[in-house]
Amino acid sequence: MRRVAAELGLILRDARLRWTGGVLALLLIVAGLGTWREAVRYAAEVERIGLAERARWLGQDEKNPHSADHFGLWVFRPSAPLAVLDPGTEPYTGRMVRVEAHVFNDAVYRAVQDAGPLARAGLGSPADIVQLVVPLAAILLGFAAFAADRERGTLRLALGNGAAPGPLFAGRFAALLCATVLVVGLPLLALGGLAAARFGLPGWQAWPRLLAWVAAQIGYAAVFLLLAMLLSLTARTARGALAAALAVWVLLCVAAPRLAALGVETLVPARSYAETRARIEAGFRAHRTAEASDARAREVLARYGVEDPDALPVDLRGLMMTENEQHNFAVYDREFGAFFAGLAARERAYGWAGLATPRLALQALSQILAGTDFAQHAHFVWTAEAYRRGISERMNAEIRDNPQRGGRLLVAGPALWREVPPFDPAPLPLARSLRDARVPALMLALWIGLLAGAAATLVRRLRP
Amino acid sequence: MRDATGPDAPVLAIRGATKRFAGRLILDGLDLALGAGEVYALLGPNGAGKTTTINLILGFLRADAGEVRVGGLDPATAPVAARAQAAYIPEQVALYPGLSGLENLRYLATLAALRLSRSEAGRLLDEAGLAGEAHGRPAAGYSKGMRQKVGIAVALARRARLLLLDEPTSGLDPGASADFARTVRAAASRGTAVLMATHDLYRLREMADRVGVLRAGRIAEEIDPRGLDAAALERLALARPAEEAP
Repeated sequence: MRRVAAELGLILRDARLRWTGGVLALLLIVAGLGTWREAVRYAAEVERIGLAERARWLGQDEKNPHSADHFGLWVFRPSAPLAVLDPGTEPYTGRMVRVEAHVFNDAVYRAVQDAGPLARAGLGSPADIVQLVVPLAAILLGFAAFAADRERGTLRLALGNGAAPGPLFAGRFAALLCATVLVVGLPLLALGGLAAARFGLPGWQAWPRLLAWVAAQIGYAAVFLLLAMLLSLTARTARGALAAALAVWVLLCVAAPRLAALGVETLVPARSYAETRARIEAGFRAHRTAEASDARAREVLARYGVEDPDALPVDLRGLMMTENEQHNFAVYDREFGAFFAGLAARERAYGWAGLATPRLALQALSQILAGTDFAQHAHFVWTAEAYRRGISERMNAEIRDNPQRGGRLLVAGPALWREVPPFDPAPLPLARSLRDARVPALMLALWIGLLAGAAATLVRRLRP
Repeated sequence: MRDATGPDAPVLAIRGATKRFAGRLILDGLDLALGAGEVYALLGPNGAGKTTTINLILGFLRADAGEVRVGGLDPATAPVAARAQAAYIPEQVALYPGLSGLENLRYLATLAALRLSRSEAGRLLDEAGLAGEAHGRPAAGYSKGMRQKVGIAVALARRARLLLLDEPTSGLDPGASADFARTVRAAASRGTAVLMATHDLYRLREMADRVGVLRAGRIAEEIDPRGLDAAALERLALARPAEEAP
């Protein structure tokens, strides 16, 4: 501990490192303020429009339940509390869905449509800063760890006077990691803590998510600290170590993610959205013809052993609508199920692509732990669809169970509308997120393990 | 050569050490043994292999042939344990420029897992001859001699069995050089074995018990310096200059 404290003291006296830390903390705070403002605005909108939609639904006129089903309403995806730290897929995936009869609507309203220039530059959130800028800061912190000592001659004096290379490396790494925790971990923890307190709902388990999320970011910074220190162990000069570390940064943070993304898209093909919609249309088409409808009507009459629809104990139209919806649901389940499964497989492959670059490992891990990953979006979409189906089934059941004779039209009122509960989606539980996080966490741990192993080997050969 | 493993084992034992750089033979079967309390001076022109010898002892280089033992340990295979028995003052003592001499000493002691209080560190700097007013000044403003004195203090703090000095009086003023000679003799009287590579023929006579003249990569002559004057030593040192070593 004394060794770490001594190294930390040395780091804190270094103006270059103080500036680096200060700028980094400032960047994180600026990015955090931007996402915080967006989170506050969106949370207020969700509450205001959600209440208005609920009032609109409850306040609709008396009408036929099927008309009410078409009347529909908008439902909103509440933002994850830790979206303040990492908005993940949220700005790109749409956050509101129109719930109405027959149609599995897309989620619309993508926040990225209103994004400012910082977000368009890929630096709009603290997570962006961590993924791209923190490695640079870690390099600036670590590149001189041994190379500058070697260049100055202090390494010769230290090693010749009993400084053991292993503890020397460990002490410097621990001190640099402490400095990273100070300038990266603490601001993130503070921002995330405020977000968890302000936006955290019980289902999110925001606090354990936050701790795991911050630990992942520090782990990622540790990868680049280790990398910079490894290069510093072997480089003759500090300048050489810096140049090599920057080249590695370009490779791992800029080039490799793009190449890995291309590789994943090639190796894990996913069905396109347009093709999915076409297949759904095809699935409906054969079922929607007048002939098919007549055949189903005849089949219903035969099932009940009557010839006249008025002789049925149920409303023929209501029953057929219920059965038609079951067919539609099956088509949606099959086609959208395959579509989302393809995208989920791709997401999992991105986790494995963390083997090529720690940035992809962190990106996946960060979104999963923040609750802003694609799985959460898909979960919301299916939750909204289940809500839509619940409304359709209730409205159709009302028609089916109240047969109208002689062309009379069933009219329902607020009592029925109130039977539809407010939309209150629960997120995927933390346990599921932790299960999804296993692969990217393993990839990040592999990077740390490999680099620590390389350091343990190289440090034994440390020479002045 | 003494037994390297017995109870009277030498603190330092080098047997048949050979080292080449880019095909050039720098050390050619060097033999050297040093017991507790002995002060041994390696004499020879630049490139004779003095610093190479010290680098072998510290495990910074590995001998191509032969063996080196520090307290019975091979610095090539157990450098940390071997170095733990030694203290070292390089020819050019480099310090952390942002730290004062006192802070440099305490920091370097911490790296060596030593705990030095401020007063202990101050006393060591006094002992090394660094003026009290300089203790707290940033080392960036130190002269070569002042840095050397901090280096001496670092080495003294180690209380090591073996003290390795590479041109230790280089850059010291005559007064400091005399103080340093007394410091070395005091260390030897406490049982520390001292090996120094030097050109300082005058101080060498004050400090060394034995002088090894390094020539063509081996000890060509080993003499008691107290029986010789500086001119005789100079003649010995310069008789057959060796090639430059890296």
